[in-house]
Amino acid sequence: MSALTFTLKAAPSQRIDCSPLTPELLAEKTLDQIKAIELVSGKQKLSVESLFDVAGDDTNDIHVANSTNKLDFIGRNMTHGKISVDGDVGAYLGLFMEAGEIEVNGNTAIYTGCEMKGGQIKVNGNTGDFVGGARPGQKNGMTGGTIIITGNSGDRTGDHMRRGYILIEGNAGDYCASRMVSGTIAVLGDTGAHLGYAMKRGTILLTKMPSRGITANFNDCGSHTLAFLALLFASFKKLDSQFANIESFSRVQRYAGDLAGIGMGEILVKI
Amino acid sequence: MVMKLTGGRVFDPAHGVNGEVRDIYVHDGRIVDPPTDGKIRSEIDLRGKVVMAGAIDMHTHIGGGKVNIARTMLPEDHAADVVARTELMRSGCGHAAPSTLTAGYRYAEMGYTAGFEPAILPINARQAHMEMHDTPIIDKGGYVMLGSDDFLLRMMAANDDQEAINNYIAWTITHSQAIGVKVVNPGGINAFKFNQRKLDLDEQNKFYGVTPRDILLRLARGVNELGIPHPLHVHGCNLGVPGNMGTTLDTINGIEGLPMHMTHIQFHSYGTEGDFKFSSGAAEIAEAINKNKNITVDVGQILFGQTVTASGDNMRQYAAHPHAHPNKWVCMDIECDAGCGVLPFKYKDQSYVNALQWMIGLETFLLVEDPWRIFLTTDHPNGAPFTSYPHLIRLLMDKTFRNEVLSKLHPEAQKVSHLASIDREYSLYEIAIMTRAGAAKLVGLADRGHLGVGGAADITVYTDDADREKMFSKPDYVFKDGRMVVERGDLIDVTWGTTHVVKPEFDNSVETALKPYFDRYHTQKMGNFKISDDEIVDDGRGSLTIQPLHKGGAL
Repeated sequence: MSALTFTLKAAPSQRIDCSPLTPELLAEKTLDQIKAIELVSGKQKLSVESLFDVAGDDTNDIHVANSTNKLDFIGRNMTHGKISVDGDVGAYLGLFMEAGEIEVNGNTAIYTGCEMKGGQIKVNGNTGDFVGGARPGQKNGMTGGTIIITGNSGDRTGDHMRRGYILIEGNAGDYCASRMVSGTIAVLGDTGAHLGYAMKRGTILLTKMPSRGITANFNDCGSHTLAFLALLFASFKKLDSQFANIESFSRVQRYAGDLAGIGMGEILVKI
Repeated sequence: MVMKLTGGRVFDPAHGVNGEVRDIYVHDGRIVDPPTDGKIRSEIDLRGKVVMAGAIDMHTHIGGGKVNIARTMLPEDHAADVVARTELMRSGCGHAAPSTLTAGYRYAEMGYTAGFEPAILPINARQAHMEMHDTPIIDKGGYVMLGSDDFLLRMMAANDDQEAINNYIAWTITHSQAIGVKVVNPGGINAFKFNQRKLDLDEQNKFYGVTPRDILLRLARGVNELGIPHPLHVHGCNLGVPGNMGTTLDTINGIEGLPMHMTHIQFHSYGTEGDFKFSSGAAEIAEAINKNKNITVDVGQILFGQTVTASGDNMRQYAAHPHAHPNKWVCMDIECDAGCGVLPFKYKDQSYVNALQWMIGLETFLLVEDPWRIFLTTDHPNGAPFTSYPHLIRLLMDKTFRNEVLSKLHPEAQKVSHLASIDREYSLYEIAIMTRAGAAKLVGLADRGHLGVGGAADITVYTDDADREKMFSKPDYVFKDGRMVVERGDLIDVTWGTTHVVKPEFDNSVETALKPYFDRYHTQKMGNFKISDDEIVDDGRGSLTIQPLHKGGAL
């Protein structure tokens, strides 16, 4: 069995809703049936065949080649299997994803891992805003799973995040962990303005002090030795990420906030 | 050019027709006598079918500011229920708070041909009409909200005479293009602004010294004296409070025989007995309704599932906000007029309180004897979305089904209710009264809700089916003003209904006080407040139907 490969023929002019192309929805389908699937693009419906060259047969291992940032909703509601993408992807990568794995060799647009429940998304590139966030008006963002970003994340990373991990090897944008309910965001690089804005609970783990410092609505709680950090780093060992190679530490400076709200969130900075 | 509807079993309670086989002739949007020359353009064979007038929902929140707040606040409601466009219909979305177009299509597909928005704030009336203007097929109209507005309370505090108040009511109803007057938590919405968090029937508003009882009497008297056919539409005090049945009985007794419509009575029929200090007061309330012929009610039945409650009653909505599901809510003040509160809610069949609310509603339906004085509503979307009406009709018409649903509810709630022992089942004739003839009479629609000669040809045709839910979900045909809009349950044509209003007479001198009041306190000038007939008619898509007044004057 070889990976089921969708090679985009030409850059589309309209956005394309790729949500039908997941392992569970394609399972048991023949190549001809897959080619005939209609994808919504703007106000039109276009067949898979007219957009992609399709080859391969393993619906549990889907590959999208030559992708562009117009391909939205890749891996929506995915429950198993793997999707790998070469090129950029559009908005809502892994929306509502429950399990399985998505890997993107390129950049993603807004709402990567929006309201995901489990599984893993790895972006070998940069992400747009609202990584692991909630759709507009919704109360909870991602509720489980892991998002690894090798580049930088956009603004509002982890907005309304409820559980799970967002691991950023580069820098995080402004309003990182805004309105975060709980969960963990770790950043190896720098963070932007308003870190932890309206954060309720949850943890932001930093390996160095942000260049802008900590905002006034976080309270310095002093230095701590936190035993759980060693366990956390041990759990990173299995990941294909720089986080697997971090030298374990447990001494951190702890800041609690956002004190404009219930103030039960924390920023931990390595010392 | 006459269309003949042949051989259907006609249920037309307005003319006492109960399931008799009749032919109906339609010409130019109206029901007519058989043509003397015998010329028939087309004939539809309805033998064996059930024929009724188009149904009328006399209390449904389909327009106005609070519905838009609900829409804005509930993207999940929209994302979970998306309707794609077709060649005929435009796209839409929403389960509890559907978009205007979708609401119109869904009503028509269920055989409804009219819906009345019960809470039009005068200052927001234009927007409410614009939303209703965008609701296709069904006729619409609204009840304008008074009773917590600063202008009226000032008049009452100054002890102005009844005639001045009548002029103000008539002026407001005319310029907001309404068909009736509603009062929501009389004076309570206003008292909330003075930090009062509850207001009983005889409790004074801190600022004006006016009680809800005074407000109800003044407004009910005004509506009656002006000859407005729809009695004062009352959303009473203490909505949802255990023990509020006492307030409701006081309200019924305190209105001094004036006509009064008490809306979503289910929410006002609670006792405080039992271990949970929450019990059914339906039997006592129903007895009072049976005894007082001046009272009409609609039920506001709850049905289980996710919905949103949208109400002008910010006092009670504020008190209920800890129960919002999902946890988000809005309460707001709206100028000098009133306020509103919107909070999403999930009724759960395994909740003691919700299960009992369900039973109280059904008990009320079954214990009120006169179907001409009780109306089928869920207070859409407060108790449940209007799309659940067929399910509700089945609950009323099918005792076995009702008891089957009942047996699955919270066990403690089952023990305290007598619902299982009530044998009554509604007949098709009674359903036709509740949803057609009675509703038209109550709202004051002379030419709707019946199938007599001269009436509008709003006709719904069903296939008789023992499963009443199935029967009432998908009518065979729906005619709106003589045009077939639904065939075999599917929408085939989109028309635009009329807006029903009344135009009571009044002395224009009321404007000498109102103009400076608008200039000083309101965000718009009095001239802009007035909605002209042309605005309703628009480019011809809308139209205005002025319904006749009753004989007015003091009782």
